[in-house]
Amino acid sequence: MPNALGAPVSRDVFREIEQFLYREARCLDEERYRDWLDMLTADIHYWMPLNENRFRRDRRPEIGEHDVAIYNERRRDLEMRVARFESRLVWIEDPPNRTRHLTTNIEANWIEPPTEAEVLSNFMVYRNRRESDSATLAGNRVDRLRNVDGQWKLFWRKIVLAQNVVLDKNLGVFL
Amino acid sequence: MIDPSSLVKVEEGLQSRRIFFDPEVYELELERIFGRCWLFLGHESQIPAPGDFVSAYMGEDAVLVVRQPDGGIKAMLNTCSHRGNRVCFADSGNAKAFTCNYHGWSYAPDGSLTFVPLEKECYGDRLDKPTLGLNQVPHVDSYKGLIFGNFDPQAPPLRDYLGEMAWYLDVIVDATPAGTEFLGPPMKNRIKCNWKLPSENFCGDAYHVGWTHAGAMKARASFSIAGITSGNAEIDIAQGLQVTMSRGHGFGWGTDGKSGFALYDDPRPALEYLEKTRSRVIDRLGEWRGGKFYGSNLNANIFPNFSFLGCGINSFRVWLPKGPDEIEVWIWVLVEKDMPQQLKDMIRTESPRLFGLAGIFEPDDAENFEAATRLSRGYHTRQRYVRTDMGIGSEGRHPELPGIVSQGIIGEAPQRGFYRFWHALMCAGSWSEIAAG
Repeated sequence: MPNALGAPVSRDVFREIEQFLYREARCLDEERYRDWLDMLTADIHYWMPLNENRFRRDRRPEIGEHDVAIYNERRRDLEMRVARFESRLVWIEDPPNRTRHLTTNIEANWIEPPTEAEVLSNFMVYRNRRESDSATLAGNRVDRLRNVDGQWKLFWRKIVLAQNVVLDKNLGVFL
Repeated sequence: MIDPSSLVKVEEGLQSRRIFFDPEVYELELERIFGRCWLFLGHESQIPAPGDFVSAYMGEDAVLVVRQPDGGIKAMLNTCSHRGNRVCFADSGNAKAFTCNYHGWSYAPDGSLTFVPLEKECYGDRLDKPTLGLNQVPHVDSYKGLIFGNFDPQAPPLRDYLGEMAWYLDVIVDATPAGTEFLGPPMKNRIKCNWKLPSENFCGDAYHVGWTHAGAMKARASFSIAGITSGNAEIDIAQGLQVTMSRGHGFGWGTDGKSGFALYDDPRPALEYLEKTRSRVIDRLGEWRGGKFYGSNLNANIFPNFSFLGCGINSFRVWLPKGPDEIEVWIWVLVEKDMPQQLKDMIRTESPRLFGLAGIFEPDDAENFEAATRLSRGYHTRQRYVRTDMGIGSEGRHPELPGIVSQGIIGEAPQRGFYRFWHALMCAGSWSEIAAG
């Protein structure tokens, strides 16, 4: 994946960004979805493309933002998803799931110092529900963060799941 | 061997729970259901040029679906004639040849064996290459862009197999002269359930929508269209109708002409499009299909495992069996080719948002199917039957519409039709024992 990488951010900024990602992960694990929405900008684009097994010689363009995607969400769509969780009418979330978002391999580089940075990370999400129903999802993310009035917020995310056939019955989690 | 006749009480609308987990039943299904029926393979728009291919499954048999130089389509088993390895591991692409990774045997796009490494040195002149091509699926045919294959040389032609369904299917695939296309590759995932549960759900179960999907209904459906509105679990059940057919296909379809877009965030651009195209579609398909069904909410299944939602959500899927208690789901998005780009883009994003892998509706169903499958294993549970007897006897002939029709979008006549045909196939030794359409 080609990235126009700028200079690495300073140690202090890196620390802020790292803490941002950990706090985000905890918001999701604790189902504090409104707090999570506060960490996203108004113009957030939250995108998880499809994967397909293709031969290396295949000359077709990579699957892009204008193709069918698993997530292709703007803020309004994410708010709608949060409203669904909050309806208390989602039976598959009741009793609640257990999830743990693990975030690693963080790298942060400036897009536009000192306000915008591109952040690479790997994730592993463990999900467990009911008696013994569990799944582990692993992948990586390309995030773009913007500093708004001293607070980092996410304005673009590409999620790449390291699976072709998703080995879970559905994706009910934010990654 | 298992006696399939007692597994479904056709007239009472009851199914033994054994059919949802029993490996013996499943083995017979691979032979008598998936070995005999026309199975969905893909859309012609996925393979426009010679050598273009997609991978697919017919039952548990992996096949390659390949566009030929003459424009025809062939399907062949994706397994090498020599030692049985898979010959193509890509999901789609364009190939001049399919070469097995094991010993390098190479097959042309029509399946014929063209090259064997060290052939002369190892085999002399004893390798009868013309008989060693990839095994062809004997029948491959398309219905207006939708490609199907059939393993049974005795099977009726595709058009006969679709029967009355073809007339209805035209609303989806033949509403405009340009036809339809799939947008990109499918979403794929695994569910630990029996393949029949989602198939019959799409065939006729609009009953579950208001309750299973109550949270999604509350978060969406902010425009009230044909009684489908936010927080309303009691949709207007008198509107629309259900149809079942002799080959087990079935659907529930609104007749209001717009409810297919009722779950969209903002359905107005779609409603304008429907308004604009309506008279042309009526000219083409008549009042029932162009005036009432076109644009209306639809859930449908073409027997055995090809399901879709229309006429707006446009989510097409196959439920591929992976053993008696697991399936792989492949979900595509379909659009009319000559729709305005803005509407195509809306369907491209909204269809998966509602009924994709991470859709707000889709996740609710899988758990219902998984629990119903898993629990059927219990020794006492498996002695029991589950039921699709709602509205039994209320279905009948309609003066204008083909198939067996019942009024209202909620009912279980299509599911009874699904299991009636399933039972007929499972009990029959061959197609000749099954009554014609």
